[in-house]
Amino acid sequence: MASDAIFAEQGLNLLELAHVRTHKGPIHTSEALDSQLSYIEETRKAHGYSRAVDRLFDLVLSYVYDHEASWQEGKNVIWTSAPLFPVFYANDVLPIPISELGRLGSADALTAAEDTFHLPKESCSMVASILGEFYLRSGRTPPRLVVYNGQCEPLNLGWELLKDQGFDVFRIEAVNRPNVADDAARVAQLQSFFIDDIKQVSLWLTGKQIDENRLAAEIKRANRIIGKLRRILRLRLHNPLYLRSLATMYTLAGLSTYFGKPEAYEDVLDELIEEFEANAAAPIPTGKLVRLAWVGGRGQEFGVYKTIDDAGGAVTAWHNADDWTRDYREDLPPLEAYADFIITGRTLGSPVRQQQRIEEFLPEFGAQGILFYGYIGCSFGSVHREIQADYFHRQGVPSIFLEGSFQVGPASGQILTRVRAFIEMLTR
Amino acid sequence: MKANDVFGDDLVATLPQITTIGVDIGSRQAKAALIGGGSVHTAITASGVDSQETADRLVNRLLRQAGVTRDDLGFVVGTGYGRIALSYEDVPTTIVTEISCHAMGAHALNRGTRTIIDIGGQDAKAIRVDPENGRVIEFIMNDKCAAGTGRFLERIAELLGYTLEELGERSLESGKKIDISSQCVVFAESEVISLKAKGERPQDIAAAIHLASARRVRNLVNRLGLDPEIVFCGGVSNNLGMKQALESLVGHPFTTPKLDMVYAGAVGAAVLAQRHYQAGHA
Repeated sequence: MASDAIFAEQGLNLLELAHVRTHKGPIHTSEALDSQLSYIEETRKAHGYSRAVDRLFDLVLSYVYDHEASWQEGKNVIWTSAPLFPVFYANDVLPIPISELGRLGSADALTAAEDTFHLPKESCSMVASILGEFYLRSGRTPPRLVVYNGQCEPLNLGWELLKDQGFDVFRIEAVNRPNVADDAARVAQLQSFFIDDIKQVSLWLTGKQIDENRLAAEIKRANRIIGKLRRILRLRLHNPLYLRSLATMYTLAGLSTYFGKPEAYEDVLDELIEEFEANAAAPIPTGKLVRLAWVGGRGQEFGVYKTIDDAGGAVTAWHNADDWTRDYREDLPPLEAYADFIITGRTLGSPVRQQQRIEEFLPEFGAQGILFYGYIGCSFGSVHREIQADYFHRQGVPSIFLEGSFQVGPASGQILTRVRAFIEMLTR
Repeated sequence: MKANDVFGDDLVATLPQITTIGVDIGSRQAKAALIGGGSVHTAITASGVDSQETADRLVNRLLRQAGVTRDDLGFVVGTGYGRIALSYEDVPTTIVTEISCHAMGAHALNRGTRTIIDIGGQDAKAIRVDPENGRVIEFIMNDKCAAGTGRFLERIAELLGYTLEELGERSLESGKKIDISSQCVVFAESEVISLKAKGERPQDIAAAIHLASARRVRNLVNRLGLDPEIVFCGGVSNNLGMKQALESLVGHPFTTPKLDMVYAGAVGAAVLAQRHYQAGHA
């Protein structure tokens, strides 16, 4: 069996895999991790002039490991896919985003998903990678998960499979408000439902009611950080290569998580703003830079980001999971403000509404074309992309689909060819 | 071949008097073209495992054909999937994607080209070209499905007992329409085996395979928007069965330039190398 050979090479056979909970020593997921790390290391070196970027990647790289260590020391640590980070911080819970498993996920994880959960190869790589990676990390990582069931049904089934593996899963029921013209009574009903969810998860996490004053403070912090990110994105417009595309993606990714260290992350943002404002020049001549919009998942093939930069492009307009375009309302009580933010986000997240925001920001960020990024096998994302690409095609805005895998590893040559050709095309 | 015959006087008049080479390392075949001294020279070989070694071999062969030395080389452009590995310390070199190179090559070889269908060893592309300058306007690339690619056709030829060259030619002898239902290469292979077992003639199976594969490519062209003149490039462009199936589905005859279009990418790379030299990038 092929998987036997894969694991044998790494000193872990299928028999051992079946007893991975008792396996001691380093986790055998380093094969592909190395290649992602090499992109991060290269990006870090390319930013040798920026202390802020250096500190940013310290946060990125230490996130999962520091929190797993904190859990082993007895702290309250969870994995999560729910957009509730301020709620977690208000509850003194240390959250790790499940999306980080994409960076850790490897061929081993997919093999484990195939062998253990019987997921065929053509399944969504995100689901397979998550299941496989949790399986491999079982026993050495926090076994509690707070998940958001508004993502997709295959993932929802995945959480059930993880329960069978001994993981304790709390599901936040999604509140959907697809119709922006919903009446006030309907919106109030949705808010009430979601507020109840927040209260329930807080009880599940800590055994106590959420401290609303703490949540109010976290909402203030979130707004402060969103404002700083907006400032960075706009400062970056004058010098996009000062903060290259992969580093920018990670700077934005921190918006959702603060990389588990809110104060340190905010310090990095402050330092980055100082560096931009000091008009520190990038050591790379910009020439005729092709500015692009990125729409969709953050992507795990970091080679794509590097290719964009190397080919003479820069992503300047960002529309991924990290929404820097909206603030929380501070004129509402904190639980209500939080629910309002999430429910409004669900409305804005519809493909047609999202495309309005994409269009709105294209001119400000000088984006000449759009990179739509989605994961292989994700039918949800592909429908969104079709609708949006068709719309922008009719508007005369060039776009390209990039389909990537949640399984980390170097980007395939053909994806990179397409990225490079797209930039060559726009360089005309 | 004389450059004026291949490109036409108007393009040749815009090129600098310098020798350049384009090297296109594809997944199956490596092609190279030299432009210089008023002539165009081409060379082809199997890609092999070492892109640099393959490229060196092609470059040396072209230099011998053209009767020039390495010192005469003004610029090299590398393209194709193996382009990343190419580098020359003694000659200014850059890399350009095969999409841009095919566009420039098809433009150089046929000035009116507006749409390119390029089917290579491992993928298929449809490219819209600006007929004014050979630049890419838009492109779609199918790199997820191997149906209709060179490698797929090689496999089908083996199953039917044909050489690759015979596969296209013999499909034109088909007298019966057979439907290939599978969209997937792996299943299409199984279907071919079943059809053989049922006693269907290889010529008819070959025609059915070409038609099924051409449908996938036609979808690419449809998404891009058909804009004649259409030029068929890449290794599969020499397959008569695929050409006929595509022309029939697309509903327009393809323009046939004077040079074998397997060289379109390499020629485009050599033309772009001329432009790079002209722009002072050397």
